[in-house]
Amino acid sequence: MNVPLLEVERVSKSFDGFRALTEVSLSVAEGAFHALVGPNGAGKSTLFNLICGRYAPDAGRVAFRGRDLTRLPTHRIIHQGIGISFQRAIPFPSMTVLENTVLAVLALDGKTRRPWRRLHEHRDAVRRAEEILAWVGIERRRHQPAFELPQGELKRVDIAIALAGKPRLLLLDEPLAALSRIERAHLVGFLPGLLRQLGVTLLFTEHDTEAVMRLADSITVLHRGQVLAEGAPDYIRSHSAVAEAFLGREP
Amino acid sequence: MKQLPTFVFVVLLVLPWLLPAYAVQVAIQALVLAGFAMSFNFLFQNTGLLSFGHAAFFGAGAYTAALLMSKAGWGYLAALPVALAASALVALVIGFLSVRLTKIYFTMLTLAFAQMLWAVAHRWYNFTGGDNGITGVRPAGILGTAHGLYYLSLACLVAVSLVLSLVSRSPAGYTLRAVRDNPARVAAIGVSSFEYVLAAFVLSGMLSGLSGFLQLAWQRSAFPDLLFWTTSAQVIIASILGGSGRFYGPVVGAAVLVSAQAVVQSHTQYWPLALGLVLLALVLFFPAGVAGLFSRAERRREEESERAAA
Repeated sequence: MNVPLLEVERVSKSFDGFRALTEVSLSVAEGAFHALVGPNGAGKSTLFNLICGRYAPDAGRVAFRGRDLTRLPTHRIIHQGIGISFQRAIPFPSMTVLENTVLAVLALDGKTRRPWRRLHEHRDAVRRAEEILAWVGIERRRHQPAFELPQGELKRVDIAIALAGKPRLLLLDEPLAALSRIERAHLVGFLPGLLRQLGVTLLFTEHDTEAVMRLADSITVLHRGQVLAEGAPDYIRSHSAVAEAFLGREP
Repeated sequence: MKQLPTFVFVVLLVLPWLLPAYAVQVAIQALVLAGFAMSFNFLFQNTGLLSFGHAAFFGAGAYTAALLMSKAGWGYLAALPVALAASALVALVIGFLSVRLTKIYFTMLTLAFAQMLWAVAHRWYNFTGGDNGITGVRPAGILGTAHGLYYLSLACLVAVSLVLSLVSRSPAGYTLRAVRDNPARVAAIGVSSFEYVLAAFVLSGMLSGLSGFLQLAWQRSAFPDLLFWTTSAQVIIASILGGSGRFYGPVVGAAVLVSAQAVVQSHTQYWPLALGLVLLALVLFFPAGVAGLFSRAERRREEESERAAA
């Protein structure tokens, strides 16, 4: 029996009387690439933020590797083995790409508390950060300040930062939003291979239907805060009510 | 340009032997304000939090030493550790209650706390002497002389800038700027920003207390105006005047501010008017401060030499 890596059990969340999520359950198996789709306002972002620890659910539970995460703040959740890249990828614009990544590597070991040795003198962390930047294909930009980078490269830096924490599960909120067609193709091209190689499970939200079908091996469709359907891409494609909700039209 | 701080330091080492007695007093004031403004700007530059209550820590340092010397007969230097601890403690309490707030709320709350301390010092005649202050506190021996105090202040300024530059370049310093840049992302690399910002606040407050401690020796008395909001405003002005985006900006600003005040006040009593005009011109024409002017000139030189090379 395989215990799912991430389990969301019957979570509900309301904002000022508006029910954003109603008893949503979701389970992500180890090694899966799981997509969370649905039209605007379906509750994708709410669910994402709930798993990240930015919101606490009104009811229900989130468990990771059998451990309850429900009330943990974001910064504690990271140390459980979850990496996060938010929708608007603006890492730390005042720092170089390398400094961004080194900081994330040091944060994993709690070494950001050190107020004495220079950041750049933490050789092991610098080496590891350079390695991660090479994975996402951005090492030649490492000495550039992050604010100078175009969106697509920023996104890659943000994913490098998320991977610096050696996650078992990577959470990406609309990774392709705001990227150009070429940048999208690039990300969809290198990400699956990299994650498989690292053994990282992926849970992501996305609007781009075509990319979802290419990336995901299982899909959960949300509609008006509830799970409409769940299954493999082929199943979801054949499900007509889903297809309509997916495209954002009323069924 | 890299050797500039070292060059300035050497000039500062010989300066008191070249200046008349009055100018040495002005120079001490500039050194004290420079250290104070650096401590303030460390917090402002790295975390983006604009404190309008740094007088609280400055005053806490001065009053702690003054009370220990006048009431318990302590020596000046012996009171230093306690003065630093008192400033750090005041910063810990105020910081704990205010660093979670952002922008204008943080600014207003720090102002409110400092004004509360001022009110206490102003009214509590039995303990602080109220608006009569604590007078006749003078360090014994060489520190009671102008030259002695000058070198002590210079040593403190060097120590403050070494500590702050060390912290700024460390992982902890980067974390502070990360919190300023993008607090949500900081949580998502597994760091809780509160403790870092609070630690920076306490460090900034403690080093401000060091400046207050030096100020006490300069004026040989402690009055409630050390805790008044105008004292907090002074470091903000010095930092903006010199360029708060640069590490040594506040030092330049403090030097300009104190010398300008000395010159203007020897001719007219309208110093606040002159200050207002200078600030107006500065904000309108040189938003990066006086230190910004230097780097602008430097960049132009570089561009010209590049053009010459091409």
